This record gives sequence, C-alpha cells and structure tokens, in this order.
Amino acid sequence: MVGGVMSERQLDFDEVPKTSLSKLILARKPGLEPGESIPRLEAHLRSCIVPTVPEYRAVCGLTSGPLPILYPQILAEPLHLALASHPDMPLPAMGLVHVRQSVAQIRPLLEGEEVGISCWLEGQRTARRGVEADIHTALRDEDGQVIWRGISTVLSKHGPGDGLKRQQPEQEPLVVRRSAAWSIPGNQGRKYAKVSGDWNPIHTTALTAKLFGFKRAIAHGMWTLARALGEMDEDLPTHSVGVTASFRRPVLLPSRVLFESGERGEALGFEVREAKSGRVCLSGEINPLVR
Amino acid sequence: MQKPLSIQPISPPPAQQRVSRQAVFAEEGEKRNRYHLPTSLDSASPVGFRMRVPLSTTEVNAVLPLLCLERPEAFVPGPVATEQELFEEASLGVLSSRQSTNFRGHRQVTVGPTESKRVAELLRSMDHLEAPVLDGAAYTHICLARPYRTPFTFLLTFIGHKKGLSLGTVPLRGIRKTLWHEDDIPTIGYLQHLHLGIWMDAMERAALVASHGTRRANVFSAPFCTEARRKEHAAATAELEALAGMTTQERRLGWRVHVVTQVGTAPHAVSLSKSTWRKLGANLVSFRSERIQPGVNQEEKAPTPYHQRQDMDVSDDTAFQAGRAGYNAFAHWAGVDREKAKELLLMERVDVLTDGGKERLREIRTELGDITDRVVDNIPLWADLPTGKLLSSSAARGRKAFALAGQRIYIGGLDRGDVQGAGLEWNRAVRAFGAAAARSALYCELAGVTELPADCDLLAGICLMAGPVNQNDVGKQFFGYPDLLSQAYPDKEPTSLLVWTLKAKTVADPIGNEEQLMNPARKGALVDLRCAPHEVVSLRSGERLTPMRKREGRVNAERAFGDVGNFVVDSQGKEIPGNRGSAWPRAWAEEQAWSVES
Repeated sequence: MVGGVMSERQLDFDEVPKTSLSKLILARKPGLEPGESIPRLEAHLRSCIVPTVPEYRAVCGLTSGPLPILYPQILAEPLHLALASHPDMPLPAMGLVHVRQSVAQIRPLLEGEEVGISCWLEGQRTARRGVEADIHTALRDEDGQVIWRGISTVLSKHGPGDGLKRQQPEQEPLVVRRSAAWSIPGNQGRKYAKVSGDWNPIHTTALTAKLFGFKRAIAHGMWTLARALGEMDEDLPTHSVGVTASFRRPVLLPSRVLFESGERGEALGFEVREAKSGRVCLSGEINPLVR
Repeated sequence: MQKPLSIQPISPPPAQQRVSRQAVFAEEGEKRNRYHLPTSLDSASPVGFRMRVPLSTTEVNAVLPLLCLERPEAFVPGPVATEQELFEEASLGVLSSRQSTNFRGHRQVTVGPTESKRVAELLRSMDHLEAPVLDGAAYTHICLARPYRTPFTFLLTFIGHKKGLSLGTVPLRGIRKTLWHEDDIPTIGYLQHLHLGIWMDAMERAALVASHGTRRANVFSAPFCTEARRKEHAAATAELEALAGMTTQERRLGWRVHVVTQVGTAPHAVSLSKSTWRKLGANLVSFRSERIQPGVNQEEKAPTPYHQRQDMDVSDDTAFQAGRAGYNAFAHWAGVDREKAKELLLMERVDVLTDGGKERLREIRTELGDITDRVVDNIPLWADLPTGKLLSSSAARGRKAFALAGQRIYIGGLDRGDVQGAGLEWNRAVRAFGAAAARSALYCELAGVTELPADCDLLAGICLMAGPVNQNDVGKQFFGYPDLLSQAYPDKEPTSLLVWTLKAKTVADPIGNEEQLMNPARKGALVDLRCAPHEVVSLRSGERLTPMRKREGRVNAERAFGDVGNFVVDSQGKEIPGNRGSAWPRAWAEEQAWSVES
C-alpha cells in the first residue's frame, strides 16, 4: 500500500492512495449471504491540501467562491475506492448504486487549506432488491475540528433483499421559484470523470454502460447534484448548510431534464426530472445547519 | 418636440363576455395542438411564455413619457453598469424588440467606457449626425444587421420569372442575392430598415428601464443608413467594425454596422417606483402579436373563448393617442417636425367600421388572393416538382399571413418623392417608419393592460404585419398590380410598408406559434428559435469579446424581469416546466461589466 499503513480493517495513508480501475473491476467478491454483515472498514488520510478546482466548477456550472460544497466528496473518493477494494469488503465495487447522499458543511472550505480525511463503512440495511450500506466521510481542519461530513448510501444487489416496497415519506409540495431545462450532452459522464477521477464505465460510454445493464451511459449522481446546487446559487445558505438528496433513477446520457427548486416547507427543495416522462431522477432538500 | 401622451383606457366588455385563454396541458394520449400549453420549455431566451401584467391608470400615465423621450443632452459620471443591468437592457432591446420571429439578422457588441471614448471620436468625425455626440458614455452598443433573409425570401427567388427563361434567371437572381445582397422585391429590403427602426426605438426605453431611470441612450443611425454614407466614412466605419469583431466572412454575408448607441448616466433620473419599472419591463417582454379577433378569424378547432364576439372597441381616443405616439416617433427618428411627419406618413384606414371599409377589405383580400394564385402558377415546375411541390404549397400557405382582421386596420407607407423632397434619406425614413409603427403599437398594448381585470388576459392587442405589403409588392413588381395605398393617395406614388391591425379583446392568442419558436424539437416547422443572449450580444473588454451569459459551461436560463412572476399557467395555476427559468448566478450578475479604471 503506497504511502500507507494497513491494519486489519483500518487503512492509514500519508498520501492520497491510488486504486486501479482494473483492480476494482476484476476483484472477485462473494457478495453478502443472508445473516452476514459488512464489517466496519476505515480509511484515513492524514492531510491533504484543498486544491483550486476551476475545471470542476466549469463542468458543474458553479461560480467562484469557497470550495464547492460537494467537492470534499471527490477529495475523499480515493479513500472510498480503497475501502471498496479492501479484501474484507464482501460487495463488488462494480454495480454499487449511489442511492442517497447527505452532506453537512459546518463551514465553507477554502482552497489551499490543509485538511485530514476519514472515511468508514457502516450502517448496513436490507433493501427491496439488495442491501444498502453507508460510506461516511469526515473532513477535519488543522485543529482536528470536523468541518464537513458526508454520508453516501450505496445499494448492492449482491446481498439479500427483502422484496418489500418502501413507501417514500410524504413530501410537502414544492413551491417552484426556479424552473429550468437542461440539455445534458452524451459526453457529460466523461467530462465529469476527468475532474472527479470516477471513471466507472457506467458513466463513460453507452457500450460499457450496457455491460452493466444500463441502456445508455448514465450521469454521475454527484454531478447531477452539483449541477443542481449550482443552479440554485444565491438561494443556498452561505455558511453552515445541510444537503440531503435521493437518486431515484439514473439520468441517461444524452438527455433533457427539468430542474425545479423552491420552498418545501421550511426547507429549500429541488428536483430533477426526465423532461419527457416527468419521472423524478433526483430530489433533495437544503437546510441551514443548526449547530 | 414630441407631444405628450395620455392614456385612454379600453373598457372591458360586460362580465358575462369576459373570456380568457384558460389554456390547459394536453391529457396523456390526447393529441396536442397550438391551443394546449407546451409540456416544457428549454430556452436560453430571456422571454419565455409570459402574461401581461395589469397596470393602474396612474402607473401607465407615469410610464407614458417613456414613449416620447427626447435625446439626452449630456452624460454625467455614474455607477458602472452591472452585468445584470446589461442583460436586462439587451432583453428589452435586441433580444425582444418586435422583430420578425424567424429573422436572426441583428447582433450587438457593447464596448466599455474606454472604447466608448474612441467610438465618440469616430462618430464626431462623421457627417450626417442626427444629434451631438456626448462625452462620458458608460458604454456603447455597436449594432450590426444583415439583409432580411428567411425561408420566405428563399421562396421569392423562384417568383416572377418568365416561363422559358427561368432556368437561367432563377440561378442568376440567386447569385445576385448572395453576392450583392439584392432583394427580390423592394419591400423585402425595407424590412431590414423597419426592424432597425423598431430596435432603435426599443433601445431608448431599454436603457432607462434596465437602469430604473438613471441611464439614457443616444442613438445614431443616419451616418450608417446607406452604403454610400458608410463609404463616406469608410475608415471610421472600418474601425467600428473591427471593434465589433466583424469578420470578412460576416461582411460577405452582408453584416454591416447600422446603428451606434451611446449609453450613459443622465443628469436627471426618471423617477418611477421600483415596482412600476419591474412591471413595465415584464410587460415589454410579454407583449406579442395578436392575430385573432374572437368571433371573426378564429380557426374552427379553436376553443370556445375564441368563438365569442365581444362588445368592446378600440375607441377613437385610443387610436388618436396611438397615432400621436407614432407621429412622435417618426418626427424623432426622421429629424423632422411633427407637422412634416404627419404629411409624410401615408395612412389608409380600411376596417369594417369605416364607410365602405368592408368592401375595401374584401377588395384587398381578393387582390392578395389573386396575386397568390398567380405566384403559385408562376413557380417554375423544374424547381417545384422535384421538391414535391413544396414551393407552391408554401406559397399557397402564405395566405394565412395576409388575413386582415381587427377593429381598426391601417395600411401605412411613404412616398419616395415626398421623402426626398423633405431632404431625407429613404432608408432613414423607413427606419423612422418602423419606429413609429412600434411605438404606436406599444401605446395600444399599454392601453390593453391598463386597469386590466383579473378575468381578462388583455383589453387590446395589435399585430403589425408586413405580409400583405410584401404580397402586394410581388403583385406590383411582377404582375402589374397597383400599390395598396394607390387608391387612397391617387396623386402620390406611395410605397406601402406595414399594416396595423388593432383588436379590442380579452382573450390572448394561443402560444402555439411561440412554442415553435422556442422548442428545439420543432425547429424549422414554421419559424426559428428566439435568440439567447450569448448568440447575439457580445461584450468587449480590452481585446476580448465575450458572449453575454455564456460562462464556464453555463448559458442563460434567466427570464428577464422574472421577479414579477408573470409566467403563463394553466387554469389550475400549474406552470409550464422550465418556463420560469433560473436566475443567473448572483456573483456573476452583480459583477461590474467593466472595471472602473478602464
């Protein structure tokens, strides 16, 4: 392990780890049998410098300012991949579907700032068609204070599902304040992959996406979410902010989707829907963070 | 001096006759037509599908001085314009001023204060200036235009040829059109100048409305109104073209500098409440042509509200004030006094409310129909047959564009001899005519939203039409027909230029045509898409030309004056997805367009 020390289930790195895509694709994982559970796995990066991210901003349509709220997820991506490729991880990395994301930004991060990153895998749940797990991420400043937290919930079909359809919680209607159509080009997945390092083949070409059961390539969920946050711009709380989002269905590439945002109860709600069918691909809420 | 205007509101009909569009979305599986609301809107245009905003009589009277603006006499130092202000100004100008919807023939390059100084020097070096060039412009618009070319003008290439010679004369005319920008019929050439006049008039108000009364526009058109005049100041014009970043290829396509507009802070602001400025801006982007007079020229398949005649009228007083607005505009832009303007503008009223009006309308309809028949017969078979008779069927479909319906219909034009006699360049007079038409229309549209009841879409609408005039011109040029105005002005040699059809009504036209404008999937069905800011407006900063609102992978999705919230909804209040748009990032919108030092 380059630049890192590996205890059994805790990986400590001095430098950003590198995990090859082929290792992730080719790794043979048994999946999860009924009664088995995913072990808690951890990965820590002692420190890294928050970079300037003009290309990321351009790809996601974000203005300049503090570090974009979702970018820490990209900083943590190498640790996520390290967890996914850990020998004790029973679920294959290929085929993990990102179904939910929550983010709590305690304070905006500054480009050039030094931070430490911790990630851990826990929170296994049975879902209708498999098993869900949570990948937690926390960024700490030089004083060790947590300044950013994220939970990415992933679904694997390589685990025992219960077949039960879960009711979506009742949502208050969205009072629309912004409504825009986006035409997403076919190469959007590759553009985002370049700036995020997530070259998962389901995002890059139609051909490779077909190998994994998709009709066409699909947009990265985190791109769709970042683009949505970019669209809301000045509506977002500026300092401490919490974002929750559900990725309900994939955004196929290329495609035309409708973005809407506005008040949903006390929160700022948003949705991305297929323009043709009106089916929701992404829905979420933003709240000022109460510390 | 322009005469002040006062609002003459239009009385709504009795409550039981008040109808509004109440449009609905098509049900699943239902065949959609132009009376349904579009399912969504994907457009970078600042316009969107908008409804008219009611204004009180007090508000409209406060706004009316904006319909008789005199030129600014000086500019004073003021705050640097923000990107948002420039966007809103462009939205009321080049991006929405009443233009043929399928003609993308205008572009604007806006230069900052440093280049504005140079532009002022260049202007001062020119003759034929219609007003003093002012110092201290905050920015300057260099306005480019090209000859009017659309699918209709392509069709015209095949019209008016002798049967045996058409195989040679059609390509020859095509070559002359392409290389020397010659027009098939003169009125097509005049369309470019009518549009420029409309744009010029809109620009004066746009600067004021976007700055909430602080900035004024000083528009120069006369030095650029003919090729000969441009040649008189060839070096200065070339420098303006260079500032505008014009390429050789664009020159070859006929793009030229036609108007230069200085904008600066006025010594005295026009004071209106913020809400009035915003409502006015939102109205200006919502006004659009109204072709349907309910109960007169609606389609059979139109919903019930369009079938109902309504007891309401465009009063004499309203028409009088609209006429005054038009004469004001003509005098202002042609640089003549109002009495001369009245003498030069030729107007014939041809509606059913005038004596013999019905017969005259029938006569015009018959004449235009006959010309259409002759056009269809005259299209060379060698071109028509291989295209599946596309040319002749398109020509026959043109009849729709000639439908003259309304309570008040005027044909307007100019006499070339009179214009020359007044010492005016013909093109400048045509531009002034376009401005006069637009301003009189604007007066009617403002009357149509004054004290607008909640159960009405509007109280008056207008359609400015060039179609009947162009068709008459086809008849004049190729088949020996007289000008539409010949009967009314037997002692003159009139050239009719536009037709006004004014309607008092409470139900707005369907937005089907606009959907064709804005829905990329239907591009080319009838008309082109409305322009996005980045397609037609550029900002020059030093050596750099930047398209407006195209930045870091994003283009505009904001609807200008969208804060007023006048977006089309269905009868249940549901909005068209995508129509409301999304504001441009605030950090970018609030940026100063040019640094203070520059």
